Amino acid sequence: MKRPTSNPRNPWNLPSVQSFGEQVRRLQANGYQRSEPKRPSLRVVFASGAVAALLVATVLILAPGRPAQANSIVNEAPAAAQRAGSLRFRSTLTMRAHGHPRPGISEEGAIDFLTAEYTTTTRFATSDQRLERRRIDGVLYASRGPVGSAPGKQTLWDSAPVRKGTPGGFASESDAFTDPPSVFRSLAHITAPVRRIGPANLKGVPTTLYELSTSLATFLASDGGHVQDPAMYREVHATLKVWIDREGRPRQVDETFAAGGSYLSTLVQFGGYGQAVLVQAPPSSLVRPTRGAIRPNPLGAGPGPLLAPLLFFNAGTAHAPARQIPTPTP
Amino acid sequence: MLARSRATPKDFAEFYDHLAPNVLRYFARHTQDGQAAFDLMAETFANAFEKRADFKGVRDDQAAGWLWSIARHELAKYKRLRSVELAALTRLGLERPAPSDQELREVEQLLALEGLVREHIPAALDCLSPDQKQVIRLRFYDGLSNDEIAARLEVSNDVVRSRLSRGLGILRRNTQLQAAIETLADA
Repeated sequence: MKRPTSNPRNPWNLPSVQSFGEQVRRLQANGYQRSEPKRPSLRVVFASGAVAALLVATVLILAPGRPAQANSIVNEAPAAAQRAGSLRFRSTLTMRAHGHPRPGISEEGAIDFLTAEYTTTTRFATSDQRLERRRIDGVLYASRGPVGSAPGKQTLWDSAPVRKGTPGGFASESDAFTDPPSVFRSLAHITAPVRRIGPANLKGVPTTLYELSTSLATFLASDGGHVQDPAMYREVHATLKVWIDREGRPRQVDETFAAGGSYLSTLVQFGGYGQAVLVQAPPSSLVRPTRGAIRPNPLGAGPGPLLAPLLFFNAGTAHAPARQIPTPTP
Repeated sequence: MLARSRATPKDFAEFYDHLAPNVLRYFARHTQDGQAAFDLMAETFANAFEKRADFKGVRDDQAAGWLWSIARHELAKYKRLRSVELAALTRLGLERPAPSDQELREVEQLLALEGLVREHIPAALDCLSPDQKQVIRLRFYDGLSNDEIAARLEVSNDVVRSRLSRGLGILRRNTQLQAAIETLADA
């Protein structure tokens, strides 16, 4: 029997999947439409809001510092952020390898989740290099070079169409360590117990701080199942601190991985939820269309394959100098 | 497909056909419970069907992202409640999936095969080039299709197929992996 799917050889396309699909077909053929929920009156909204606030306040007063009842608030924070439609972010990655500080990496940008447009700039302290990317109207633009432009020298951009069906908003950067999609993926799937620390004010924004303590193996497993050595990565301690605002959205995430004399820490700050994101294409005179691929962010391999081995399992000795983190070629 | 389905009924069914098997796989992997996986898959699509008018995107990748956010929400709810709440299914009057014993065994076998690959593949992958390793990871760990991998890596579909084919060819020499890979390669 021919299976009615675009991928008929998928072994997960089991008979019960198909029979449920038949129910969906019948349902839609019958013209089912959702009835619009009745909009509650303003008075009811105020009243229910007050009751909810009272309940939350009571729980917070009676149970400070207790482990949270469930980890759902951290798991669901990324969805709450995406529902806002857009955000701005700033990430800072700091490293210490075998007792020695390493040059850091910073990234900042803005994402529009509805249009999948974004702009992001990554700076590498090790070489004063920056990598800038913009995605707009289905085209990805990338430029790289030294921080600060030389007088009279204009930045050139490579461009390539983003193919239809590209998952996520960050194209080939979706695995990068410092960008929100990667952080969100981890938060959405992490299974470690969540501990509620208490209220915290972040630059005037009231938030609640939550903390998770786990291992690099668990962290990576939650991030889509990279190819890893779980036994080795279980030795690397991972601590996540997540500041969540009243709308359930993350305002700040601090991820720290430590083993021996090495650590890697990423601090990501979020803001500008729901604000318009303006992404402009570079002037066409400065754009060089490319047929092939624009090279992904050098951090695109994620923390496991690239950074973690360099930091925590380098050359088998604690005294061997750490290898340089790759930087983009101008 | 999802955007079109608001106007043309058959498109939601196509959307379902395209994504349902991978959604089932996602839930099976995360719950390790065949019946719960079928229930969660059904509840996810019932929710998506009910709320499809709320989807504001226009492209298939946006629709897929929207659906996966519903799936993640359902999984989080399942982990919190330790049971599947079939609310949308009930509201729509849909019947809960009733997988046969054979199907549930098949789910267990598929999970076992994937587990086998996960267990042995780290060492075997050392034989591959970085490009081949990346494609294998995206295909079998992240569950992306060849089209999705091509889009993510910004290379052609032929390049993906070539890297996948060569990578699998090397891995097939690993006898412990052979049976598992041949099954998964057909996915």
